[in-house]
Amino acid sequence: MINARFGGWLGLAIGTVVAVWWLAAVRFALQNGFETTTPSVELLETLWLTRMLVILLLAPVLGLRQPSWTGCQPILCMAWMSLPLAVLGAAAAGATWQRVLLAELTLLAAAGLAYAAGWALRHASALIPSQDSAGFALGASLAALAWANRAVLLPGWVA
Amino acid sequence: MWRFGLAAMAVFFGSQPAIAQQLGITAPWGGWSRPGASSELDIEIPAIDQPAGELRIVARGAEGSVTASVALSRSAPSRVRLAVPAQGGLDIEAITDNGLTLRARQDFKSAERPVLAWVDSGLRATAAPPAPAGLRIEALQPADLPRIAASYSSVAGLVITGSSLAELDDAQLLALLEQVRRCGFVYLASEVAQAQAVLQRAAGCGGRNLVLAASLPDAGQLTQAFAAQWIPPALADNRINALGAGNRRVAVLAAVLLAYAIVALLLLTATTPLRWLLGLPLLAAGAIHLALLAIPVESSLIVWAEAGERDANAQYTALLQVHGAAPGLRSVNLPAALGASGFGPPGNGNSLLWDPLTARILGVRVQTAMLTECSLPLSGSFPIAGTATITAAAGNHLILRNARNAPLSKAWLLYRGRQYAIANVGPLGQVTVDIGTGQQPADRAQRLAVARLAYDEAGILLALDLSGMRSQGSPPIDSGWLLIRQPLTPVSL
Repeated sequence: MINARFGGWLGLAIGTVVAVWWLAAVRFALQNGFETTTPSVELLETLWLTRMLVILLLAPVLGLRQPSWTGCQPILCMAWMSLPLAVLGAAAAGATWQRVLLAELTLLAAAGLAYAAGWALRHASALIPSQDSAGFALGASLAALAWANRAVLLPGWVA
Repeated sequence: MWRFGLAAMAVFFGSQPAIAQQLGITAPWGGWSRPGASSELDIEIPAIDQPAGELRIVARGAEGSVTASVALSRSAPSRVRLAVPAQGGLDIEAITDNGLTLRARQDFKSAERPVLAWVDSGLRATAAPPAPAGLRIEALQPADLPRIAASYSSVAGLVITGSSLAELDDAQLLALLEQVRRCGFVYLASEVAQAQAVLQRAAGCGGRNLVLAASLPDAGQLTQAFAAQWIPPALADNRINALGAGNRRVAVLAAVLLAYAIVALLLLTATTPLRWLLGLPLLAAGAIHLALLAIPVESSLIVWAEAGERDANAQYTALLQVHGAAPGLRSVNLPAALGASGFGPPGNGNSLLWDPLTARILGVRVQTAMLTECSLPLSGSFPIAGTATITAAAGNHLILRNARNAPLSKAWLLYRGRQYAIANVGPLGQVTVDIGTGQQPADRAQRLAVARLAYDEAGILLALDLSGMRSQGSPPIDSGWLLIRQPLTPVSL
C-alpha cells in the first residue's frame, strides 16, 4: 500500500543511507587532510538524483491510481523527509539556500509532471488492459531517461 | 557405508578454503620506534586457495586503525606495505570476501636512547658497528630500509654506506631522499661523488643535517656528528596543526541528524496526522538553516614558541584556524601583537586584511563553509626574561633552577624522550629530578616538544599565559607553549 507513511519510511531510508555514507566520507576527508567540499557536493547530487528517480518511478502509478491530493502525499513525504540533510549538505558544500530551494522546487515540478503523466494515462486506460503495469512502465521509462541524462541534469546547479 | 562417509568427508573438506599460514609481518628498524612516530608494515600474504576477490587488511592499535584493500592473489603469496602509527602493539587482520581471516601482531619497541640505523651491506664481512654512549645502534641491510618516508620518524638518524645506497630500490631511495629533504640526520659514508651529489641536491635546511664522509665513523665521530645536528629554530612545517582542537563539527552533525531521524521514526510509527509528517522536515530544515546562520565563526589561535637558555627572544610559530558554519565570506581579526609577524599563504580563496598605512596584518578574510577549515600560519618573536636552567648532577639526576622572581607553577622537564612533571618551584628555587622516574610524553604538546629536542639537549616546556594578548574581535588563544632548549653534557643512563 503506497500511502503517506510508506513515503515517509522510504524518504527516511534514503536519507539514512546517504547520510551515513556522507558522514563517513567527511570523517575520512578530515582525518586525511582532504577537503570536505567534494563529498558534500556528492551528497547533494546523490540525494537529489535518488529522490528524482524514485519520484519518476512512483508518481505516474500514483497519478494513474488516485488522481487527488491524497495520491500526492507519499511522493511529498518521501521527497521532503531528507530536506534537513540537504540543508546541512548545502552548508558543507558552500551552496546557498537559494540553490537548495531551487533543487527542491525542481523535484516538486518533476513530481507534478510525472503525476500528470499518470493521470493522462488513466484517461487513456480504456485502451490498456493493466493500468498498474502501464504506470510502472511509464515511470521506469522516465526514470531511465533521467538516469541516462544524469550527466546533463546534475553538474553544477544542485550544489 | 563407511566408504560413502569417507567420500563425503573428502568432498566436504576439499570444498573448504585451504587454511593458510599466518601473515608474515616485518617492521623496519627492528621494530624500534619513538613517541608520536609512524612506521610501516611489510605484510606477506600467503597463497590463499579462494576465488579471486578482495582482501581487506586492518591494523588496529591504541592510536586507531588503518585499513587497506588489495586484490586477492590465488596462486602466489603477495606483499602489501601499510603505513601505520608506531605506538605500542598492532593487531593485523587480513579478511577475504569469504570470511577467511589471517592474523598477526606487531609490537613496537620504545627505546630509552635515540636509535640510529646503521646500514652497511658489507656488515657481515666487517666489524660490528660502534656503540656510542647514549645512542642505540640498529644494524640493518639495505633491503631492510623502509619504502615510506614517514617511517623515518621512528629513528633519530641514519648512517649509510655508498655501496648500500646503490643497492636501494626506487621506493627506498625516494623515501630516503624525502627524509633528507625534511632535514633528517643522515650520515653518508662514500667516496663516490655521484652518491654524495644525489643526497646533497635533495638536502633541506641547507644540508646542515647531512654528513658526507669518505668512511664510516667510529663511536666518537658518530656521537659528535649526531650531537651537532641542527634543528630549525621554529616549527618549519605544519606540525603545529597537531596541537589544534580538531574539527568537532562532524560529531555535532551526526548528533543533529540522529536526533532528526529519531523524531521522524517516532512520528512514522505513531498515528500521526499527515500535517505533522509533512511539517517535520520543513520545520527541521528551517531550524537547521537558522541555527547555521546564528552560529558565529569559530576561530582559535595556537602559539608554539622556542628559545635557547640564553636567548633574549623566543621564536614562535602561530596558527590561526577558522571554522565557519553557514557558507559565506567572514573576517577574523588578529591580536595586535601578532599583526607584524611573518605569515604564510592563507589558502584557497582567502585573503589577508592589511592596514595600508602601517603594512600591518589586521586579520584574514576567509570563505567559510560548515566543515571547511582555514589555517593561517604566522611567525615572529617575543622577548623573554630568564626562565629556568637545567644542569646535570651526579647519580643520574637533573637539577632545574627557576631563574625568575616568580614561582614556576607548572612545567615539564624533557630529556631523552621522557618527561618529568615539575610543580611549584619557588622564585629562584630549584628542584632535583631522578632520571629514572621519567614518563612517556603524555599529550600532543609534550610529544611535539620531545621530537623537537636534539640529542644532547634537555628542555623545559611551559604553558604560556597569553590571555592579555587578545584584542577586540580577535580569536581566543587555544593554547600557547614555550619550549626552552638547553644543551646538556650527556648524563650516563
